[in-house]
Amino acid sequence: MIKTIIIDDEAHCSDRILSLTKQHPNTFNILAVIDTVDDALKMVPQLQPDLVFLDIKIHDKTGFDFLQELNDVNFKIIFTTAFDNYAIKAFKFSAFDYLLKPIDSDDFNHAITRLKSDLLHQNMGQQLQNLFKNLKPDQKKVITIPSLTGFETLKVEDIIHLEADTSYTHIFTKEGKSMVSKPIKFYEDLLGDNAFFKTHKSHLINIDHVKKYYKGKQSYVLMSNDAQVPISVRRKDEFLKHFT
Amino acid sequence: MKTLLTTIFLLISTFCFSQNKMIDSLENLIQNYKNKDTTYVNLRIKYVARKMFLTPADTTWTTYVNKTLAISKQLNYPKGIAISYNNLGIINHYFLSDPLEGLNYYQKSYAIFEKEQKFKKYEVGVLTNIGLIYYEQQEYDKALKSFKTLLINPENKSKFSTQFYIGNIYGDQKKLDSSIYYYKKALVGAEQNKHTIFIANIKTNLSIVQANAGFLEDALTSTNESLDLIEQHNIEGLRVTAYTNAAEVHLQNKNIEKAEYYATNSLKLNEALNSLSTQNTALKTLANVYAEKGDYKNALLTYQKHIVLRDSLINADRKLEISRKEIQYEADKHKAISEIEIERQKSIKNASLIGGSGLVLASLIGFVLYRRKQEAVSKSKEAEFNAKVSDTELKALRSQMNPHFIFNSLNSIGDYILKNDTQSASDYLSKFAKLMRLTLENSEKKEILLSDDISLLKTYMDIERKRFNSKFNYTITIDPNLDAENILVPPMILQPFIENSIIHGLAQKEGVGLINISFKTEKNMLICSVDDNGIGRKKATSANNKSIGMAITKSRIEIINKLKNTNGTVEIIDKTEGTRIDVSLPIELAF
Repeated sequence: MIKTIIIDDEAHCSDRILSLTKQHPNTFNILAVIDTVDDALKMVPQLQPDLVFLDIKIHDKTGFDFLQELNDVNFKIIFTTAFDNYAIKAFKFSAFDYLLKPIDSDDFNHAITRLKSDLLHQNMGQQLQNLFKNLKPDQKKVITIPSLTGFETLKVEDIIHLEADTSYTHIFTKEGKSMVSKPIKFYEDLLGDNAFFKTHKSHLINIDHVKKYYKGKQSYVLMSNDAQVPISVRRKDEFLKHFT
Repeated sequence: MKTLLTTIFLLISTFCFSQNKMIDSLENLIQNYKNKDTTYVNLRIKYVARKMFLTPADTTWTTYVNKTLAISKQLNYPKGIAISYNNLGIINHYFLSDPLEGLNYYQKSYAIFEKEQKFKKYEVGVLTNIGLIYYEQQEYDKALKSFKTLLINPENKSKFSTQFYIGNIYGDQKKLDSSIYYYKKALVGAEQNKHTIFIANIKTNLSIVQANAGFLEDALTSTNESLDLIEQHNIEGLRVTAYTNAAEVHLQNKNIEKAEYYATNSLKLNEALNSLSTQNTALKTLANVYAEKGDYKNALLTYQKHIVLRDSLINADRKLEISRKEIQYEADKHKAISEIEIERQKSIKNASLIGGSGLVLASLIGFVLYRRKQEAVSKSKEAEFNAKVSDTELKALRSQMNPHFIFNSLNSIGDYILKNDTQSASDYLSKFAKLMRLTLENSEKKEILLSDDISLLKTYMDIERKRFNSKFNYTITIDPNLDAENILVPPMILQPFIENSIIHGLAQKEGVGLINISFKTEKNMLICSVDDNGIGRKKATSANNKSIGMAITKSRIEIINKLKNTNGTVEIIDKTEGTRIDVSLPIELAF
């Protein structure tokens, strides 16, 4: 049984989550449904939940305020939000789970499945720090990638390039390479706004790390780690626009 | 051996002998004349003409004539300038024995006279002088050219003298017939003019040419007539030459006595004159006379004298040769310089011509290029504008999709609520929200990956399937040649056709329907098909099926065709059972 707390200021939203949890018998032990940040700060440390469904806008405060004031976060968080592109991006960067309202039952089920396999890793400190960092507009972004032992943090600016390997992605930095079980498309969506460019179906590069460009029929770039990354014919013009 | 032809100079280039009295009065006139005008110049010229030949040794003539020249130049008086040049030519030619400089002045003079018809009479003198210089320098062709020009000059009042000079030239060239012809013509003119000295000179020269030509009797007649004239009129300047020639003529007539007489007398007379060529000829004739007589000792002595003289004459000839070469060199130099100048002018002209035309050409090309660029710019602007318009149109069409889709879905939710199926209504609503999100996201994009579009279609069909209580099943097949991750399609292009199939084809069908959606390539086109086994269009027309979505999709494809210059089509095929829609789109690869 997963000890669960729902924090949301709107009753119909918490009701929806409740009804969705009911579809999973013998899975959830709902400890409380809380509708203010103040109550949550008092009750959460006492109740010691495994999982918190956390709304972002709670009256005049936010779910982030709650997390920041909490000394010790040793529970899983699933954010719930209606529409907040900025926050969603931060969740993705920091590898937090989130559900979009109105919550679709399929999405909910997926999230729960992921959660069950991952419940052991309880130390959220690093991941939360990354989240707060990514939420600040002018801060240099970091990405959190799951590792065998927990999470690994990579500065976006340190990422040299990414390469697809079926449904996995290799991420290359000057320290070496990391493998994530996410398709390259996920990172393309995540990093596309920054200095990243998809040169090829299975290659995403950081423009800032391009050392040399070799033109020709099979043009390619030499990255700062001396890796050669191909540029497909159709992406060449678009690629060169970044340098003019 | 050169034939001895003599010319006594009869002040050819100037005008007449004068009396001292006349000269004195002229001198007074010039001294008292105050103005420096053309009259003054003419007086000075007259004075020079009258007095210069009387005192050829006077070295001040050059200065005097130069002063006349300077005044003429100041007055810009061509006649004065040209006559002064001619006089300077005469001074250099005859008094200073500098034929080179002389020729130079004559030519300067001639260049001025040549320009105007009114100077024709002055041309005669200067051209004669030029001819004589060339003759002396043995430039016979050039000399002939000058004299023959003179023959056709209407102002030439003494054509006989010109003919005489031509006779001399032909004589020296050993063209004896021509020489005799011209001498005879000259004789006629000279006799008409009663010019005794000239007649005597012509006859003296004619005699030796006739002797050389073998007309011995004619030669004897000519020589006797000439000698008679010389005796009658005491023409001393001609006597030595006449005697020398007479000696040769008599020798050829085997009249040794007379030959010896004339040769000896010639030599005697020549002691005063010291004319080398005359002496040389006389010595040779005398040597031959002695030989004829059998006086071999005297013959040998005379011959030796002749040889010595000949050698020095050859040296003189050599000098002549040198001066001729000098003249030739100067002329060549002038010619070369003027040719270079002409060439330079030409090349300047050419350069400026080339430069000018180059400039014109460059500006023309520049203009054409500018126009072309302007056209290209305006064309690309137009294309850009068209693209923008089309883009906006597309966006507008895509956004029209949304309300259309939203209201259909809201209808379904309302339907659930009416049926009091709150759970289904709630589930449906959240699915709808998810689809809404995806559509909003994708409708911003012009093109999405086929794989993304397929997952969008799946979401859509799942929702519809739920709404219609699983009244239909669907399959999606992708040609194994196609890489759904690398093909771009306009988002939701098939959605209206699928919706049509579901609502009009399958919803009204009894039993479970089937929609097959397939993607394949054909002739570089992507064929997207929606194939249903519904009731078909004919039956469906009874229902209100004016599909906004279909119309919008057709417009979208048309605009894409316009934008990308492609030929995407929508084809509706009525099957015996159901309908098939084939949408063909140009294959657009992402990478």
